[in-house]
Amino acid sequence: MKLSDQVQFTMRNMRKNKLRIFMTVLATTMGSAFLIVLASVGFGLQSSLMEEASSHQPLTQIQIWDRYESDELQGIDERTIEEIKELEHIRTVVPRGMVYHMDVSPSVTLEDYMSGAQVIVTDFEAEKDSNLSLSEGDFPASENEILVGYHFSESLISPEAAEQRTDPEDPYFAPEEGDYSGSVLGKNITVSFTNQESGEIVEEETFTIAGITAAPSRDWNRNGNIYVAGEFREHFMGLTGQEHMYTEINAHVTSVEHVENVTAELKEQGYSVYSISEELSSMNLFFNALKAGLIFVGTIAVLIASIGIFNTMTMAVTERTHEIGVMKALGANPAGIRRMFLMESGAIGLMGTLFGVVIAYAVSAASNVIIPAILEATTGTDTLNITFSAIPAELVLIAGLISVAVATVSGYRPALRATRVNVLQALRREA
Amino acid sequence: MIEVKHVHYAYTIGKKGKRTDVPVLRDVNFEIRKGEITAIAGKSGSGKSTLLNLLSGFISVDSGMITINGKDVTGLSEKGWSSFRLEHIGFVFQNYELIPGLTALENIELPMVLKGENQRLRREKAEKMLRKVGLEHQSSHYPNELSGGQQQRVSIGRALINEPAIIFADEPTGSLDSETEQDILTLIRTLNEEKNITFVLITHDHEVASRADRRLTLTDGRLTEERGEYSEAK
Ligand SMILES: Nc1ncnc2c1ncn2[C@@H]1O[C@H](COP(=O)(O)OP(=O)(O)OP(=O)(O)O)[C@@H](O)[C@H]1O
Ligand SMILES: [Mg+2]
Repeated sequence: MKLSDQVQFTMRNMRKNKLRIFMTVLATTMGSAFLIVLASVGFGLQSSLMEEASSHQPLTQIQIWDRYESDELQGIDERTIEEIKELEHIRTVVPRGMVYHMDVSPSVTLEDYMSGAQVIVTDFEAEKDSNLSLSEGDFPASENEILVGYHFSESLISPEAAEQRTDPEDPYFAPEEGDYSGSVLGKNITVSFTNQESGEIVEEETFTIAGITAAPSRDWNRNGNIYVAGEFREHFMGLTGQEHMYTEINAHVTSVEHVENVTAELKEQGYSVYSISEELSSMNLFFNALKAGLIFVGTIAVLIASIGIFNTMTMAVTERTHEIGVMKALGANPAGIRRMFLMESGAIGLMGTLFGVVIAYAVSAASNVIIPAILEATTGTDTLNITFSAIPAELVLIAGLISVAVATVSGYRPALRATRVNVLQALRREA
Repeated sequence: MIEVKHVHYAYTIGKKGKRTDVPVLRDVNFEIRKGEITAIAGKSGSGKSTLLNLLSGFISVDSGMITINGKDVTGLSEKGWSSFRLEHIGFVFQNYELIPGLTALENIELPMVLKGENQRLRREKAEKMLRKVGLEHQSSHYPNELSGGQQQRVSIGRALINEPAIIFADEPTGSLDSETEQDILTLIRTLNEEKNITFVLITHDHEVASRADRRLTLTDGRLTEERGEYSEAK
């Protein structure tokens, strides 16, 4: 018997008992929708938390603190940065270094305004490669151009305002005290290095603000720093007397899957490192266990639906015993008969899954709107931008496989019974 | 064409622990040549249907040997039997055994569907067959929309459609009135003469048996032969 004929026979048989098939498909639909919706909570919470975690640090970023060699702090210098860059899968290394307030301290002024901004030396090429984004302006094109943090203008305070402060000597002041208005883009700033003891200005450098960084990802973070080209590193080190000027080193890996390897490699070489991915991997382990548990519980619902399929298929075989007997008498291959019944139960499973997926998507979308609304109303918080339920393609695939497999398995025994129909008994019974 | 040697068959009845054998066929021997119409006669319960069921592979012999079309079919598996039947044997049943959900045309098509013929060829051949059995106007009738004689014609059409060498018919006219019976017997005779198909029919009707080439009679599980009038005329 040709497959197309088997399909046609199966369809004809299914049409003969629409209500029964409908009810069975309904049960399967509910089972698979339940499975998907249940598991979608695991997927949804995981992706929300991952997103949340990666919003303040890219997943491909590895922070490098220090380097130890046989338990001795080695510090990080130009050479080690170059070594890290040479490692496999490293896209770029951003070597930021803060200029400390030591015997000689830097201070920043713009026109008459003073600022408590931190001065940070960095490599603009690397910053660019690490996808640092700007809210205004461009990356510096020459040595004397700089970037400033998003909140830099808030750190500027006029002499008049400074005088009114309770402690005018305190170099740190709150952002709301700043009284600069207008854009700082294109303005010149001066960094002067003052000897703390004598009060004498040792050195002055003037820079032009070429760009302003994008706002930090979390709104309570402030960035009023100024970023100066790496060419000044040696010079500034000489002025302040710092031994090294690498305080915030971030390696960027070409893609997330290499983070683990590169992290391990760096640790091997004695670096103390931190990557959000590493943090997340333990979280992922937890979520994978949770998802597996939810899928398992959901599968029970599908199994319950499969009892319906078993019942329906058993009835179908009983009803069609005579027809099966005739077909066998005429020379139908038992395997072909079995396949037709398996196709029928498989089709029920498939239809149930398809409708189940559609319903699950609807329920998932609705729950993402309704649950936060209820939580907001009852707890009064409105910072809940968490996705409770997410249905990625893999979940649909897993649920589909489970439902269709369960349907086929539960249709297997009835199908086998169909092939074992005794021709003589079937014919004697008469239709 | 068909060779039966020392065939024994007994039904086992009763539940576990109390089984008894009911011997039905004892040392049955006969041979049927190609193109013959053979009638198997005998009293009710004499084992006619049992013998035909053995020849059809619906049950298997206790001992003895059956050869059909040169092939020893005694130990054939279920799967082997189904393809053998599909290829070599057509069936006509007393109760027609048409599939209620299929039209006359579709019922005739069924053996070709089982064989995996393509749809166009199937339609064409089935329509031709419907004309041959005189049902060209009933092609889209369902079995319950046909008379007994018409249903039996459909079943004969179905038996013939794959052009088998042999047709087994268990009381093909058992449910029909005598006029329709004559029509069916004439149809069988015509097909036999046209295509040289071997027919084995079971009947307990003398009239039917007398129109066969040969007549085998079963009594007490044993077979005896009488010559039919047609064979004498030949
Ligand atoms: N399934 C069975 N189990 C037990 N005994 C059976 C079975 N089928 C038939 N018999 C017995 O075998 C014997 C032969 O039966 P069979 O059906 O072959 O007779 P028959 O010659 O075809 O009769 P009829 O002319 O009435 O159709 C009978 O005595 C019957 O009781
Ligand atoms: Mg009988």
